[in-house]
Amino acid sequence: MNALELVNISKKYPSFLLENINISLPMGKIMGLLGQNGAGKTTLLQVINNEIEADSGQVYVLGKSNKAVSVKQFVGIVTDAIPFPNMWTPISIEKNMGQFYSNWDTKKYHNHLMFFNLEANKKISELSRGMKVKLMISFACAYDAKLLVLDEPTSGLDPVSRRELLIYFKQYVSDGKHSILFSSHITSDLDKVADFVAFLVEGKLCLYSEKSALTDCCIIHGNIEDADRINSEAIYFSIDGHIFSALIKKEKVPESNRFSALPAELDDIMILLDRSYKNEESNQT
Amino acid sequence: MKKAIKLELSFYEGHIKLMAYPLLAAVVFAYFTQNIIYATLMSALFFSMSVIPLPFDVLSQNDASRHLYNLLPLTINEIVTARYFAIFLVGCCLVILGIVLQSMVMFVFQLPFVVDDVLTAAIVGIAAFLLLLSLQIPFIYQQGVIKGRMSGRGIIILASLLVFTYGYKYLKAMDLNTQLLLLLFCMVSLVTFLISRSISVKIVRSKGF
Repeated sequence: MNALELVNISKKYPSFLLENINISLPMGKIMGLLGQNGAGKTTLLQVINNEIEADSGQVYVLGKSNKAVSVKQFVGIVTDAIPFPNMWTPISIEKNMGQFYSNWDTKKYHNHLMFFNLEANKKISELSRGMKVKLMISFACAYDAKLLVLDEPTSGLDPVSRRELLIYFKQYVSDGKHSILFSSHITSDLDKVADFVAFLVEGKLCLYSEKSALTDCCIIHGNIEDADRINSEAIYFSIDGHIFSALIKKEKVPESNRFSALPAELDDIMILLDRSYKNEESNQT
Repeated sequence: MKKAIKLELSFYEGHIKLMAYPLLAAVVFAYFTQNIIYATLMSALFFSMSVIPLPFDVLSQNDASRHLYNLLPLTINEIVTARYFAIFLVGCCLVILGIVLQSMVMFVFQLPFVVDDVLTAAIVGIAAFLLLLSLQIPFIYQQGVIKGRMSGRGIIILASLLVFTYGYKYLKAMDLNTQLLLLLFCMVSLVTFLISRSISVKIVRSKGF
């Protein structure tokens, strides 16, 4: 069973369109949702979390529609802002929120607080951003959320905290019963932990792939005169002035000193996809 | 539902002081009006002003709090109803506590005091509070805490004026007995509550928390 399945999700705003998104996240895997600011990552996460309603399409969490109230029992939402009242403490979260979840485990919650060095009696208003993210994760884990939906969890964190969280994410899914969807524009974080990557460019899903499949690819750059030779083989292709760039399978790279082939890093793929999309847009107009 | 009401009540923790002032006002009313029913009615108005917007205020201190209910395995209907019940529960406690304090003051100062009036005051106070919360909450959901509170109070003042200028005259002309009048008042409050709750549910469904 898939932890998450998005089927033809579309959402239209006056100046933005999230278009026909189809994604599946298997159990026990981490998916990174990548895209520039304004690409639609947060909108998509809001649709998944049922905070906003899609104009069309369906979201399934562990086979159930995300509109079912019971789905909240096994989805953990970690956004960049903590939704609890400022005067609450981790203890009051346990007291007031724990009662709603059938799987709530107080011991597990306190173990997580200890693991993340969070003081149980510290007011939420006094917590740093990183601490808030850790508290939200502790909260979701206390009721054994099978799917964690994280919106930019590592942005703004110091390197030690980021590393700590990434290691934790890997452990979290290691039993094969939990999954994580996490949006970020810090590609190095996703490089370390993601099993799947989905790239959004201006509301369109440009690439959705297992990350391991991308390691078989490379990015080549060359002069525009050689573009035709590469274009037909390329997974993605873009032109910037007199230079072309293409994402291509390693075995399909022509043996020539006219091209420079580099390993396909997520960063470079993101830039390539963005350019490729904009080229297509300008060709259409 | 019980759990949701418990959550709503938790927003009042740490705000006891805010509720103590209207209680003090209730005692002062009793001393000056020397009429426990009238004093309770006035106190209910004061209680409603401090108690009703409080959970909205607590949540509005953190912008992200609107997402709080999205974490909970509850329907919008349950969440909104729980808020109504929790506010009503706090209001009832205050009305009763107010009556106890008022009775004590009237007894200590040897003011004219009819024991039968205590029960009438309790019914009037609770029904008035229910009516006041039903009039205010949809406005707060629709317009937010600051604007909604103002609009809600505007409606209350308007309704009070209409009741005092016209309603009282007609009711007197109808020559209803006190019990019937009380029953009528409770019915009006209950119907207003039911309408208000369904309006609030609709508002939250369309625009979120």
